[in-house]
Amino acid sequence: MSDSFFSRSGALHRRTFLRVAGASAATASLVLAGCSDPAPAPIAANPNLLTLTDGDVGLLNYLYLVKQVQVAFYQKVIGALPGDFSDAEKLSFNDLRDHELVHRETLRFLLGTNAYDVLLQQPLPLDFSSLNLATRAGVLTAAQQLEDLSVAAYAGSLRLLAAVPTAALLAKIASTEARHAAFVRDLRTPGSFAGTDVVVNAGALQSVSLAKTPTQVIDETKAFFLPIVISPILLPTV
Amino acid sequence: MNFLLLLDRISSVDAPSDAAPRRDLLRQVGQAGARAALATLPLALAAPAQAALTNNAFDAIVLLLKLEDLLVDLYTKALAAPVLTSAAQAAVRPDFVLLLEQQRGHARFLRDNFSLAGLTPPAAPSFDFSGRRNNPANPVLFPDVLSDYAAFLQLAQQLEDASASIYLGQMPFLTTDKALFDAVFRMQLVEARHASHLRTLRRTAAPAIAVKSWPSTADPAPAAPVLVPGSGNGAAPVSIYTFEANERQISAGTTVVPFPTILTGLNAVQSRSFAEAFDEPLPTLQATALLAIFG
Repeated sequence: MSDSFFSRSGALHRRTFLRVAGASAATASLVLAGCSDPAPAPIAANPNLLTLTDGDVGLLNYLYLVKQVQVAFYQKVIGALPGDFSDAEKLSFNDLRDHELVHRETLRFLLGTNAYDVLLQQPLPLDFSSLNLATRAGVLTAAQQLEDLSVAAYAGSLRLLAAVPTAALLAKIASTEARHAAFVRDLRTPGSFAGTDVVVNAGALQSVSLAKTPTQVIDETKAFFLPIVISPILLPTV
Repeated sequence: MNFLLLLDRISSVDAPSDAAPRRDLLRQVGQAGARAALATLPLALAAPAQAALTNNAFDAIVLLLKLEDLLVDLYTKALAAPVLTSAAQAAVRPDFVLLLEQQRGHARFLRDNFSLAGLTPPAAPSFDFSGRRNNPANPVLFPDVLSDYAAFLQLAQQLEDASASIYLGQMPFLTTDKALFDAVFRMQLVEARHASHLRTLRRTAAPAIAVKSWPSTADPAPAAPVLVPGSGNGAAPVSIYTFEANERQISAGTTVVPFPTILTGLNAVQSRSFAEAFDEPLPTLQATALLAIFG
């Protein structure tokens, strides 16, 4: 693992490390045992793989990662907002960044020593080169994408949490995220606050928020984390 | 065959994915015993003002349905009244058509929970948005709501903000049924989008009102506030935004998230963000009193 971000950064979170190392060890012992069944080919562990653990800790780390993307995004764009942002819009973006910071630090506090990055010497580097942040339209498009995704992430994961008080606190965060999303959408296209791309518009669940599973959300954000790859495979699904 | 068991089987055959919330509501009703019979009475008879607040899933759905009926009625009346038929509001009229449609969707979902459980859902009461409680002798609390756009937006903002908060307040009573919890939470998120939009409309109307899209201690207070009972016995009525000013969040048990220590240095934020970053629940007592102002 000498080339991985995690080893360079200091230490991979112990639980995550054990998941990766454990898989390798199991493969190796099968080979060494020389069992009579056709031995599976050894699986090369991706040194940049971050496998989220199961249960509430895994879900909170997942939401923490999404929140880290949002904070990093606002911190990046606020330093260089395109000139056609109005003064009022600039102030609003300061509010958005501050709210996201409060959310991120709340999630970090909830996780305590279970945060995946508790032992990292530097934060996970995030890559926003896939976004066009040179124009107002580009910044608003990206902000809308991230806010809508955040709302869908909470909509698709809150029911998976075992701890009721945690779910209650996260619902308060999610509600504010929905306000953010509607605000940014209205900035970009007035009246688009609750469009059919974010609200279910048919069937028994007509008029409820769109929800996305952790797997969907991680797939839509994967470009920001490269070369780190996040695996939701152990997260609860029901 | 047991009537409730029969319904249970029918609902599981008909709609495996959506049946769960309804089955659980059934169980709640079964546990509540005589409450099931009450549900078939008109709401005014079934829930007198002095009724005890029991905070179970059944009562939560009754409360949320009345809230959605209130919002459906507000937008239905406004779309037929001068406030939104005026040419000056032609550009925003489609926004209110969408708001009405989505509130109707929520009311339909909640009402279906009763129907599929074999219960007669409560009928929508006759709502009065003047604050006179359907009695012309009472004083008008919210003047010109259906004729003046600014007055209408001011009340609609408060009701949509309250709606997001009332949903948050009822969600803890729905946690035993994941499917119902999930649907109600996802309706809450749509209510929060609505509230944000009403605030944007106020900020962009003439005259502009400098509210943010999220409740903030920096917001100008409404001139005609929706008042609810304060916390504690005999406390004076307070604005719904009193609850939104909360700066203390509980992580677990009695542990408070220590914002002043974790939000410093590189993580420093404007101090009003401690409250702005969280929408707050409106407790059942306040939610019930708020709905009673209108019907």
